[in-house]
Amino acid sequence: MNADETSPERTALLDAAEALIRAHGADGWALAELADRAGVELEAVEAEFETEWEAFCLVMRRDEERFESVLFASSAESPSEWILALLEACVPDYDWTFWIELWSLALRDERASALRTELDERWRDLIEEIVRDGVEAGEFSAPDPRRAAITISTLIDAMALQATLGDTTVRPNYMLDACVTVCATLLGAPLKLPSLAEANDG
Amino acid sequence: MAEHALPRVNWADVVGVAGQLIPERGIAKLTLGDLADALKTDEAAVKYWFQDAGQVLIALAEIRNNWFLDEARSRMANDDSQTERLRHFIELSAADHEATILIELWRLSSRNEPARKARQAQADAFRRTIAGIIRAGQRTGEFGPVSPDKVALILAALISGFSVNATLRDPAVSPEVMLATLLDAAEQLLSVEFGSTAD
Repeated sequence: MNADETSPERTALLDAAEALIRAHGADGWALAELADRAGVELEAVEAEFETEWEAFCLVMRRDEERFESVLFASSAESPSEWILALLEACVPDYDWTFWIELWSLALRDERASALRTELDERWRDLIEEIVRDGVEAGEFSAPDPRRAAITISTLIDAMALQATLGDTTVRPNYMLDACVTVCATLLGAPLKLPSLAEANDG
Repeated sequence: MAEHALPRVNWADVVGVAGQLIPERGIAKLTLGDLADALKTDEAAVKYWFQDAGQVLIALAEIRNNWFLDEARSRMANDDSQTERLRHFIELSAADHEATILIELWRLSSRNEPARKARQAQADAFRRTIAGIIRAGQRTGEFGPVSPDKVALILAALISGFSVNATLRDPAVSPEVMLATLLDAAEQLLSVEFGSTAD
């Protein structure tokens, strides 16, 4: 594997892998097609990824890191602001294509199941930490922060996947409104719906 | 003329065998030839009913969604209140949480327009049923003054999301946890109390 995980060559290969996964699914292409698409020799691809599965994992992790970078760029300070920032980060960036692929693979593949568990746990831990901070600060009244975190993360997953599939009801503003309603209810907090200046509500 | 005739198959035979093969292989790996092999017939016999494996998955998903909604209506038919009806709907959702076909439909929908339309129609029917219960419950004063469509969308999303978790054997989301969490969420969103879930 290339030691430089952010080299332009590696980034270009991951971009090409993303496009192949979107077009053919996580397991519907071969490294040779990735080489063709990226315009490099197969050896160059194999120097970066041993298998198609490894490339999919790296694409998936890069996508998650991209999402987290959007979230952590927020200027939120209080737990209430962090919850709203988290929901806002999901709305313009609601492409859950890779998650849909991962869920399907996880039905039959232990490696995919383990990756899905790892990424879900990370996501739930992040939300739980915000909820616990909110309870400690007196902003939230959630008797079971873990359960609240699982419910919030599950709702976001389900809403975002529907938006990804072009659901005619789950448009950005409506998705955000519904998620804020649930968080306010579960957390017993007067969360205010943020404006969505950049989201296209069709 | 062939020396021996291959068995003729009907629409239900094809859908039935797809119901076994799709969970085993996934829609991405399934062809009409695979279905024909499983039915011990030729591909042309399967193609008489379906043009591709995606069409079979769509049919299977529609059957499953329609079965669920019919079963829910049947279980709710004798309920005296909308609170009871909603509780029974949620209980059936948790009991029948298997989401393999749904996940495969989502996967196909990301690259297939007929699947996308079928998924939308199924989601709309599911949400309409929940919204109908909420509207009726508001008329009887059982539920609080919330948007029925919005709460239906939320509950439907939570049901599908928790179904995925339970199907993938998420250690944190057993069917029992799914049921308790859904009932809690509905109680809080609709300002209602379901009471005991034991029936």
